[in-house]
Amino acid sequence: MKDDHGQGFVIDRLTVDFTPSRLLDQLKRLRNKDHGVVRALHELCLAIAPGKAVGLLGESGCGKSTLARQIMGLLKERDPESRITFEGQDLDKVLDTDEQAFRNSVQMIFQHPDTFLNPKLMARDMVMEAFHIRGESKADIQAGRFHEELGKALDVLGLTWEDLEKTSDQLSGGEKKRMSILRVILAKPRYIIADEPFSGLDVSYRNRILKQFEILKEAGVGFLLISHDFHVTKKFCDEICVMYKGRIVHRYENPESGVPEVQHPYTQVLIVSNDYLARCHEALPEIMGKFKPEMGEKDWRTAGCPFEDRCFYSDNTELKDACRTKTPPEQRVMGSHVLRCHLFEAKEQQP
Amino acid sequence: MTPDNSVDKALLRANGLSASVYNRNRGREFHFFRNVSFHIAPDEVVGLVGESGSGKTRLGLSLLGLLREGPGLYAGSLSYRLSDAEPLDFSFQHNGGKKRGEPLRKGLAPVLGKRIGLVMQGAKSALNPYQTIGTQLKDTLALAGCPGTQIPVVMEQLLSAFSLASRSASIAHRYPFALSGGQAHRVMIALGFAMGPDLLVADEPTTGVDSPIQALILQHFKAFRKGTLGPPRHASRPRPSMLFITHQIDLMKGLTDRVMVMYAGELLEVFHTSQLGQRPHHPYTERLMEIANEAGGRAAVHSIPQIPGRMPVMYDPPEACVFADRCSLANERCRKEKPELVVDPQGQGVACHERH
Amino acid sequence: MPVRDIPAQPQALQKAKRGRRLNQVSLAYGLLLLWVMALIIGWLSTGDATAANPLGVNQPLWMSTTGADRLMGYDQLGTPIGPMILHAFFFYPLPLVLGTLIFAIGGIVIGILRSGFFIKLHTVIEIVLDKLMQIVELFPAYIAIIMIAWYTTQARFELAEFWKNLNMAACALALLNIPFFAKVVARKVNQLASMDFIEAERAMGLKKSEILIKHIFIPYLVPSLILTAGSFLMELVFMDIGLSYISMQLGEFDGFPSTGSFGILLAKAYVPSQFDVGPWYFFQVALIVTLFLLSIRYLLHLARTIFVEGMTNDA
Repeated sequence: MKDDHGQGFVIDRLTVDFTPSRLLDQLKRLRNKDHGVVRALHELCLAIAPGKAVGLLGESGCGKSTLARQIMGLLKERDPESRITFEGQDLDKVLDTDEQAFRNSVQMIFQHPDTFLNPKLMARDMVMEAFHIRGESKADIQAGRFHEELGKALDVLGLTWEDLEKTSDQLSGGEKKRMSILRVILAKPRYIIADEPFSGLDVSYRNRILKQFEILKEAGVGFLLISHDFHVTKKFCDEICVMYKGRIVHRYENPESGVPEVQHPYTQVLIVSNDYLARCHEALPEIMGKFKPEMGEKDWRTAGCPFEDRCFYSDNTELKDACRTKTPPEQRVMGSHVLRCHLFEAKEQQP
Repeated sequence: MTPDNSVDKALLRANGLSASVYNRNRGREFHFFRNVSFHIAPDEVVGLVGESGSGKTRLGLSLLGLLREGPGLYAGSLSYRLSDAEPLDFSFQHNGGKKRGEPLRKGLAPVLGKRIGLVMQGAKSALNPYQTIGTQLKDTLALAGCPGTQIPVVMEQLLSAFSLASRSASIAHRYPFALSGGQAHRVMIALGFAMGPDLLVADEPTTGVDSPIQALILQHFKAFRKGTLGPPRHASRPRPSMLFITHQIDLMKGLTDRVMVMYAGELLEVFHTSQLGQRPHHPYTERLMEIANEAGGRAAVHSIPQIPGRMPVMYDPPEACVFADRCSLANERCRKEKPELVVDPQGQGVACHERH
Repeated sequence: MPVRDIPAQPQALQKAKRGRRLNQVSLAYGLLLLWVMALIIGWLSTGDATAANPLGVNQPLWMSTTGADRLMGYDQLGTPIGPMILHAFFFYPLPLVLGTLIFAIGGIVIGILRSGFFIKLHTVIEIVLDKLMQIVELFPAYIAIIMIAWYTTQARFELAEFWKNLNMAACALALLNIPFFAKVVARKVNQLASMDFIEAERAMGLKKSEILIKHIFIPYLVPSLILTAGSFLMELVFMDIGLSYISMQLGEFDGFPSTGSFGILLAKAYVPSQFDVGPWYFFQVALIVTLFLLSIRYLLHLARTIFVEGMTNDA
């Protein structure tokens, strides 16, 4: 990201490694190998601007949640080269100097509400925390000055006052999810990092929440919508990033129609599979012929494209060698599309 | 019931099935589902669609006699006509605080896991943590009556079909804790297929996985139905029937023959998948279809279809139409009188005053 | 999105303002048991030392006296029993409660400090705290060392004098038990600190102290605190009953023992030779102790239901 505007998050070449255990860490130090070190994120660049929504697509295990934790400052270990800036300042510095202000303006919706709500506390207590964090005085909260606001938000999310009187283990999974979204909406943040906000929610609620998000976005809230559902992101986001193995392989401005003109093979798989589920043709689409349910062992540290083993085009004789031996460089295709794929390199060379 | 041939030969017939649990603190009954009647014919895939909390999982479990809580099934009757097995008939009456699930569980014991199979939700907790995947698969196959010489072949076939044996070390030697969530999910489905059942109850088999993998799983279900996946079946046995429980109505098109729409513990509509959109539908089904078919793109966000309100709480479900609160067509009659679900000879019907 | 009418002061919130629900049944049981126990003590410890004995043996005198005398009479030494029981009710628990408080607060504070969730301690302090927590494991060794030292030096250490002060005894026992509880607390806090919802609360913007109190202490530590402190209190009661029965209680003043423990009351009602005649008479002793412990248990249960929300399960 070269344009360093003073607003929003700017993530520059974020690299995060995970060591599975302390024992392995010691082994690594002894043998000086990066054996067993999992690379969660690899030189990831991203910007979140106020009033804009960035969609992050990718399957489970590709590092989406790690990215969200890095942005929230919950996970501080990262490569020394990487930089995250929040409104022009380094994130670590912001957290050291004024953590409270940062937390007030950035909120996160967690993926699994079952473990992210305290099971022994009443939902009411946890929702009221939102007002407390917003900086409202205790007297105001107790006087019930926010009942109307709370009532409206509850109604939008399909919750009732009685639900507030339950502890979170008495709520169903969907109710918990909506309760955690309610909390974030009431806290009135300037940025929302939403990690799979619609997983486990019924379509009727999903659309209502999406509309609520749209209203917030128009009021200037910046969004990072992490999802594996192409259907949702294409409706809501201004920019869509497709992530594979901790690196963005395809970034594009979301067109009005929702279907990008140029597609990375992985983007294509995501789009086509969604289409298949909706239309349900008899046979699997051709492009998914090589697609396996699991990611391969290969990652971005070794040469070659990590998606090669699942890619429909990698058997193409012209590309075969390039896909296996060369890491695809970043290229700009058709203006707004930024891709990492040899397929487009070849296309550019041909004419 | 209608004198239709297909209904008489039905593999499973449920009549006026109701289940509830008594909540001591509230002093009231919580209804899982009420007065549910349907049938599943041999070689038929029936989809059960509904939002979370509509009782669809409970209905699926009750068909296997697995509804544990309190009174469980208290009204209606269930009859099974499984191949190579005695006809099984059960009826339930409201008989005070006795254990009502007991006779069903005992009666179904000889056919569970052999003729009736289950794919459970929550893959990781549903697998036995102290047995390897291979042992669990082998035991399941042996229990289902797969001949001993065939077991390794079928295991190999299932594991490779679900991409569980592609790596250097096969997953068969691993314990459930060593599996990723996606792997456990596929193992669960493989176990369901390994039973080689006449009736497979699949509870949300596509929930919580990415869309490309959903597509792969759907493909496996199609293969299982055709008989190309799973243990070999004797020629005399019909192809497997399935009850496919899900909350995604858009998955129904390619896989299922008929779709049942459940809402607040009641069946609102039953229709043939081929006639989707060609016959009068229940307003709820229409709304669901509208959401599933909505146009993509950012332009559509403001006109995004929604269903306002929320599902009635099942402590005191309304004695009128359960969807009346959220329905745009609702009139006075809908709020007073409960519409009956009348199933025609083709096995279709709508429970709505406005649509017939 | 049609917004339905919003109640101005929703009923549900009004209901919540009444505070946490009491468990009336537990309260009733606890108080009833305490009252029955008081009655029995009164009954047991009353009598006339010179009254005629129908069996011809030294039997407790309450067996031969009338009910009115038994309830509010005089003991063998002629001391009125009524004020003694009242005294016991108000002052007897004080040293025990003091000991329990030291035990609970010490355990919680040391445990939370050691867990490292709230403040990151200096490594040296951590090591010291760890060593302190090992005291429990080393307890038998300490006793052995003291015994050996005592016997070898032949020091005329007035152990009895030391134990005579129940306050001292309770505090000493509390101090010795703190490490045990601190360990439990530290483990619990560590376990909770690694859980996802604590991370979520931090992301939400709550301060560490707020998380510690609202999300860890009240819902998770208080119940185990009440249970552990409760069982410690019972331990102290047993210790006191035993000590005061063999007349190792606080010194007497104004003719009353300064703590009206059960041991004293029982010692006054029975003479040692009684045990030779009919050990079954001691059934009443057991009954009283049981009733007392049961009543403590029920009152603790009550305390737990006040603090632990969601114990009443209505899904």
